[in-house]
Amino acid sequence: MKSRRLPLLAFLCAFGLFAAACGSSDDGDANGEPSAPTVAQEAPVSTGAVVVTDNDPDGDGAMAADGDVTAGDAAGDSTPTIDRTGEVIRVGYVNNEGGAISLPELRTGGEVAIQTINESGGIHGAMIETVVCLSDATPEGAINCANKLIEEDVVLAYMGLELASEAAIHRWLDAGIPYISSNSWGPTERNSPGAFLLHAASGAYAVGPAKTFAELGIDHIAVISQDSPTGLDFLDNIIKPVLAHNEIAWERIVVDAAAPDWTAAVAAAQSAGVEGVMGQLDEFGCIGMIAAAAASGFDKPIFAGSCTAYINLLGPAAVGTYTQGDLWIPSIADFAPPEIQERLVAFREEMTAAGYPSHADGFAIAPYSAWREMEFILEMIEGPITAESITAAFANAGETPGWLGPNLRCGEAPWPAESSHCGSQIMVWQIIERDDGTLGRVPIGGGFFDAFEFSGF
Amino acid sequence: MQQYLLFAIVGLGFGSIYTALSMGVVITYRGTGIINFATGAMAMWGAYVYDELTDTGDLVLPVVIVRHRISLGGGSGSVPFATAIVLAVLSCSLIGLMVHFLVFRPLRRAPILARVVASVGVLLVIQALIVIHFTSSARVVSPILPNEPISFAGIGFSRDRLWLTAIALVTAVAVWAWFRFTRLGLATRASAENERAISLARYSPQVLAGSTWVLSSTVVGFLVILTSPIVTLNPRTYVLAIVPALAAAVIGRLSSIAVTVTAAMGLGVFQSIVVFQTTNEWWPDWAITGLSDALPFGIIVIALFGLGESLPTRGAVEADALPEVIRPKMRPAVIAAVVLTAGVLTVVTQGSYRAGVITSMIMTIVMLSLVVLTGLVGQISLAQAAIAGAAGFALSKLGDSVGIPFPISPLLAALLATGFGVVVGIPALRIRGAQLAVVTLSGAVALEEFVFRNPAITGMFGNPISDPTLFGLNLGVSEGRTIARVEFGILVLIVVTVCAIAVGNLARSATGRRFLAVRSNERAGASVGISIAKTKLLAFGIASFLAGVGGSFIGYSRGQLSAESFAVLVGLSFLALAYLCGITSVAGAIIAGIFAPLGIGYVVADRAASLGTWYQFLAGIGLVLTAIFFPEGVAGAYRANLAKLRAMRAGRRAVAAARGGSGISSAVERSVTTAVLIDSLAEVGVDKRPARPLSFDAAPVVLNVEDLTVRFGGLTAVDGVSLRVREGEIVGLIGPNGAGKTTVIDALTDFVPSRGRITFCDRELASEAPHQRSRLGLTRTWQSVELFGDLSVRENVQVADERSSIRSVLADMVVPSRPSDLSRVNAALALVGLADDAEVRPQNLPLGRQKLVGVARALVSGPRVVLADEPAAGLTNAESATLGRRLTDVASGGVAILLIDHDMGLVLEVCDYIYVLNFGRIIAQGTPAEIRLNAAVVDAYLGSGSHT
Repeated sequence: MKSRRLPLLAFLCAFGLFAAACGSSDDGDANGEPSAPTVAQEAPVSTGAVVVTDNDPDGDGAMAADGDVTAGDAAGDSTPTIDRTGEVIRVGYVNNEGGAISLPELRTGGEVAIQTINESGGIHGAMIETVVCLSDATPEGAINCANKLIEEDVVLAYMGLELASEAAIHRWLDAGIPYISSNSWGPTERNSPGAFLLHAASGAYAVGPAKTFAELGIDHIAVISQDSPTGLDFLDNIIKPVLAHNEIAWERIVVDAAAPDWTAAVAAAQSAGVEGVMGQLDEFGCIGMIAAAAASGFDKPIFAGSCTAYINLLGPAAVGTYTQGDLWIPSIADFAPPEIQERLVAFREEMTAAGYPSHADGFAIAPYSAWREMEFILEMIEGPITAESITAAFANAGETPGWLGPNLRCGEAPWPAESSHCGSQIMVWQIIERDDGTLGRVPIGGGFFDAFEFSGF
Repeated sequence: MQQYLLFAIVGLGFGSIYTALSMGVVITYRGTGIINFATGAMAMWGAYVYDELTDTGDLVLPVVIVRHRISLGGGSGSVPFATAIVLAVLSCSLIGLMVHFLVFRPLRRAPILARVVASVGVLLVIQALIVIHFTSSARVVSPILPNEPISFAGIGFSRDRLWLTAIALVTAVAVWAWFRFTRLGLATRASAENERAISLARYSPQVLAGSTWVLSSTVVGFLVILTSPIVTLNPRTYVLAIVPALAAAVIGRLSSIAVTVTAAMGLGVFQSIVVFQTTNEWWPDWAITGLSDALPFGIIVIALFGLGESLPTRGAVEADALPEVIRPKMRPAVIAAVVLTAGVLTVVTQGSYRAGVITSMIMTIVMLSLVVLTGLVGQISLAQAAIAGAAGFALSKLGDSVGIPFPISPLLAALLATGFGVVVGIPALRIRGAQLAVVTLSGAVALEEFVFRNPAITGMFGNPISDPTLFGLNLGVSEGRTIARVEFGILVLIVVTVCAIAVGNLARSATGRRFLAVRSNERAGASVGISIAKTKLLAFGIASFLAGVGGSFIGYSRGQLSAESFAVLVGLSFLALAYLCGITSVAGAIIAGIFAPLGIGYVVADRAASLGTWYQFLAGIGLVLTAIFFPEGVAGAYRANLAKLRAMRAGRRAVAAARGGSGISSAVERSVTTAVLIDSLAEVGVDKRPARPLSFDAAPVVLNVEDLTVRFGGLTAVDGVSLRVREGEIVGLIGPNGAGKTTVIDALTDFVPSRGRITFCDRELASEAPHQRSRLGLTRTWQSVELFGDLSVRENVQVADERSSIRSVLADMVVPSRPSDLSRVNAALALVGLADDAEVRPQNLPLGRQKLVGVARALVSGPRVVLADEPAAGLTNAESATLGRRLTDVASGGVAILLIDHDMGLVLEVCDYIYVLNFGRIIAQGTPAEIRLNAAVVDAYLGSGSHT
C-alpha cells in the first residue's frame, strides 16, 4: 500500500524549490524584503562566465554568455556558426498529472522555458516542439507514455515528474533516446548510460545534513525515513557511510509509508536521546514529522532533507529547521549573484505572462532552469540533431553553465556512484523568522559546495 | 516498561483514525450489507472541506460542471470553527446520501461483487474530485483539539491523542447503543438481513439503508475531521488507511463495534511500538519493511480461522449470487477464429497498438485466474494481482539472478505463485463472501509490503527480466525502437490459447462440476462427497498458477517490474474489470483483457483523447455506471439479451405452432401433468419390485446411534437419542416441527457438532468430515432442497457419482468430456421420474421435483444408508405414494433408509420401524402399527388431552 512515495522522496532529494515556502505570492507571507543576514556575504558570486570563485574552484552559480564555456567543453572553445532555421526538434515531455500526485508546474516551467528559447531564435533557428504525455504515476502510465513518444520519433525524453520512471526508463534507453530530467525519480536512472540528470546527485542530499550537524557539534542524530526499498537503500548505502565519515552516530527510525505515525517517530527519536533529527522524507513526510516534533515540544535541530513545502504550511514550527537545494530560488534571490537575480525576475515574468503566476513560486523553476541549461548543450551540436547526437552531446558536454544553479558536468560523473547526474553541489538553508514576522531562508555554510568532497566516498 | 506505555499511548492517535474508519465500515455493513472501500475517501472529503472553510471561507461542493465553490467567509476570509465543522460534517452526510441514492440504491439487488466494484468507483471519483477541487498538494490542518505537549517518561507528545481516543470511544459507545437500543437501530440491523421481513414491520428498507449511509458518513466524517490535524492531508491519506481499518472490522466480524474498536486501537498501538522497536540494534533488517502491515494479516487469518466455520451452518445467510455460469461448448471454429484474429492483429499492427494487443492477451491470462476462482468457485479474491506480481518478481530472481532459462523459469515462477495463492486461500476454508474479500486484500498488502517492497528479498534497483530465448531464437518483446515484436506476440498467443482452452475444458469437466457445486452450495457439496477444502484449495492453486503465468509474461513484456503494478488497488481494479466484463466465462476474460491497463482498448482510448486531470474521475464514474447498468457484467447483460431474443423467437414459433394446431410443447405438458412421476415409474417396472421381508431382526445393523446429543449454546436440540437401522430397512424418524429430526441427520452427517456414538457399518464415526461420511456410504437429502443451481438436473446427480484426483483434474483440462458411465446417473434419474428433466436447471422445477433430484443425488453413489429428510414435501398424494414405492424398491436392494417426513401416510406405509422424537428426545418407537396407537405420539402431534 505504500504507493509511490519513494520516487517522491527522490523528488525531495532533488531540490528544495518550493518557493511558496517563504515566497508564495498567493499567501503573501514571506516574499517581502528579507533581512540581510550576515551569511549573505558568503553567498556565491557569479562573474557572468563559468564562474570559479576563490571558495569554489568548481565554478558554481552562474551561466556564461553564449559560447563562452571555459571548461571541458566537448564542442570546443567557440560555437560554430550553424543555421537550423526551418528545422523542428521534437522532444517528448512526460509529467505526472491527473492521478493522486499531480504537479502541472513541472510541465509548465519547462514549456515556458521552451517558449522563451523558441522566441529568442530556438536552437540555432530550430524550433523545439514538445510532445506532451501526461501520466498518472503508475508503471502502466509511464510505459504508455514511453511507447507513445517513441512512436512520435522524439529525439529526447524529458521527465518533468515521473514517479514511475523505473518502469519505463529501459524502454527509452533501448530505443536510443536520451532520458533527461532535472533530478532522479528512481534508482535505475542514476546509473544508466543515456540518462542525464542535470542537477545534484541524490547522495549529495545526505551530505548536507551530515556537514551541518557536524558543524553544529552534534554527534548523535536520528534519521527518520519512510518504509520503502529505495529509502532503506539510501539509509544503508549513502547516509550510513556519510554520517560515519562525519563521525556522527545515528538511530534509524522507519515509519510506515501508508499510515505514517509521525508522533511515534519523533517519540522514538526522543527515546533514543538524540541531539538532532534528520528527515529522509517526501514533502508530506516532512510536514508530518516537523508538525509532530513541534506538537511534542521537541527542540533539537531538525534537518528536513530537501523539503520546502512545510515551511509555508507550518509557519512558526518551521523556524530554525534546515533544508537544502541545488538551485537559486526566488525566496533567496537576495543572496544570489546579480545575474541569477535577473534570471529569477525574468523567470517570474515569463511564468506570469504565460498565465502561471502561482507556479513561479513552486516546482516550475526546476524544469525551467533545466531547459535553459539544455539549450546550451543542444546548441553545441554541429551535425543533425538526433537522439544519437543529443546523447553524445550530453555525454561529452563536460562542464557547461548552469542557469539558476551551479555549472553542469554531464558525462563527468561528479558523483561517481550516480554517474547519470551532472551535478554534486548543493546549498544548505536555515529557516528564519524575519523582523516583520514573515519566514525566510538564509544560506549557511558558504553557499553551494561540492557535497562529494564531504561524503567520504 | 514506561517506554512501551508511552508508545502505546502515542499509538492511540492512529488507533483513533482506524477506529473511525473501521466503525464506518461496520456501520455500513450492518445496515446495508455493503463493504464500502470508499469509507476513507468519503470522510477525507470532509477534512478537506473543513480545512478550506477555515482557510479561505469557501464551501466546496462535490460537484462538477456547475459552480462548486461558495464563498461564506465574507471579508475575514474564513468561517468560525463551529460553522466550519458543522458544514464539513454535513458535507460528509450529503456525500453519504448521494452515494446511497445514486449508487447503492440502484444496486440493492445486485450481486456483492457489483457493489464492491461500485465502491471502488466511488473511491476513485472522490479522490479525483479532491485533486480537481483542492489540488494534490499537502495540507496541514490547524489543531482542533487541545494539543499542548505532555511529558511522559521524559518524552513529550501532544495531548490531542488522549482527546481523540476519548472522543472515538464515546462515539463508538453511542453507535453501539444506537444499534442495540433504538428501534431504528434494531430495524436497520434486521433490514440488512431480511428486507422483506422488515417491510412487514412497516419500515422502508431503503429509508433504513439511506439513514445508515448518512449515519456512517456523518460519524466517520466527524472523527476524521478531528484526526486530520495529526496527519498531513493529501489525496491518499485516508484512502490507504482503509486497509488496516478493514482488518479491524474483519476481526470484529463486521458486526461487533466493541471488538472492532478494540482491534483498531490495538493496531495503532502495535504500529507505534513497532516504530519504537525498529530503533533497537537487535531488530533484524528483513523485518524493518512491511512488518506492521504483514503481521495484522497473520493475526486476522488466525483469528478468523479459529472463529469461522468449515461449512455454513443451517440457517446461515446465503451467499450473494454470482452471475450465471454458461459452460462453454467446444467450438473449434470459434476458437480458431478468435486465435486467428489475435494472430492477424499481432502481425498487422505496429508499435503501441501491437503492444496493446499483446498486453490484452497477457491480461486475459490473469483474468482467467479470476474466472476460475471467482466465476467458477465463487471465492472472491483481491489478491490475484499480488499473486501475479509474486511470479513476476520470482521470474526476475530465477531468470536473471539464478540463471534458469526460459521456459523453465516462468513455470517455476508460476508454481511459486501457486504456493502463495494456496496460502492466501487457506482462510477461504472457513471464511466466505465479503470477509474473504477483505482477508485476501490483507494478504495482498502483506505480500506487497513484506515481499515486493522488501529490499532484503526483491532488491532495490529494479527487478530486471531478461528477454526469453528458445533454441537461440529471441522471443523478447522489444528491440531498439521496435516496441513490440511479432515473435513475442506469437509466444503470448500460444500461451493464452492454451490457458483459455484449459479453463474452458475445466468448466465443462467433472472438475468444473465440482467447482460449480461448491459455488452453489457448500453444504450440499460436502453431502455428496466433495471435499470443500480440497476443492477450494485446488481452485486457488489453479487460479494462482494462471495468475503466475500472467505475471511472468507481464514481466517479460516490461523488462522490469515495479511493485506498483501489483499493488492492492490494482488487485481491486483487476477484479472490477473481470467482473464487469464477465467473470464467469472465458469470453469475459478476453473482453477484460482488451480493456485492461495498456491493453488494446486502453491504447485506442488514450490515443483518442488525453483526459489529464479528468481521467481518474471519468474512470471512476465509468465503473459506477457500468456496475449500475450491468450489475452482472457486460457478458451477463449480453447473455440476458440473447436469452430474451431467443425467448421472443421461441414465443413466435409457439404461437405459430398453436395456430397450426400441433399442440403445446412437451415441457409445458410435463408441468401441467400430475401423472408424470407415476408414468415414469411405470416405465421402469413398479410391479417388478421384490417382496420385502416381514422382519429385519436378522439383518445386520448398518447404522447404530447411541446417546446422540447436540447442543446449541444453552439449548439441547437432540438429547440422548439412540436408534438403529438395519440393512434394507426403512426406518422412520418422525415428530412435530422443532422436535430435532433434521438436527439428528445433521449430526449423523457431521454438519453440526455432536456427542454420542455413531457406528456405521461396524465403523465408529468420530472425526470423519461430511464428505468422508458420504464417501463411506452414508448419504442424505435435504429438507431445504440444497441443490446446485449452476448445474443441470443430470449434473446435480452426476457430480455425486464422480471422484477426483490430481490426475483427473489434469486430464479434465485437456479432455473434459471423457467417456464415462452415466448408467447409474440415468438409472437414478429414471427411478425418481426425472429422466425427461435431466437437462433443465433444478430451480426451474416445482419444489416437489426438486426434492426428487435430491433423492436421486443421494442414491446415485450406491450408498449403504440414505438419510432422507422430507423427500415427499411438495409432492401430490399420488406422487408421494409413488415415491414411497420407489423407496421401498431401493430398500429391497439392501439400502437402508432413515426417513423423515410429515406425510404420515407415506411414513406409516413404507417404514418398517419408526422412532418418534419430541423436544430432542425419543418418546416412542416401534412398528407402524404400534406407533399408530401410541398415546405419547398422539399427544406430541395433537397436544396433550387430545385423546381424552
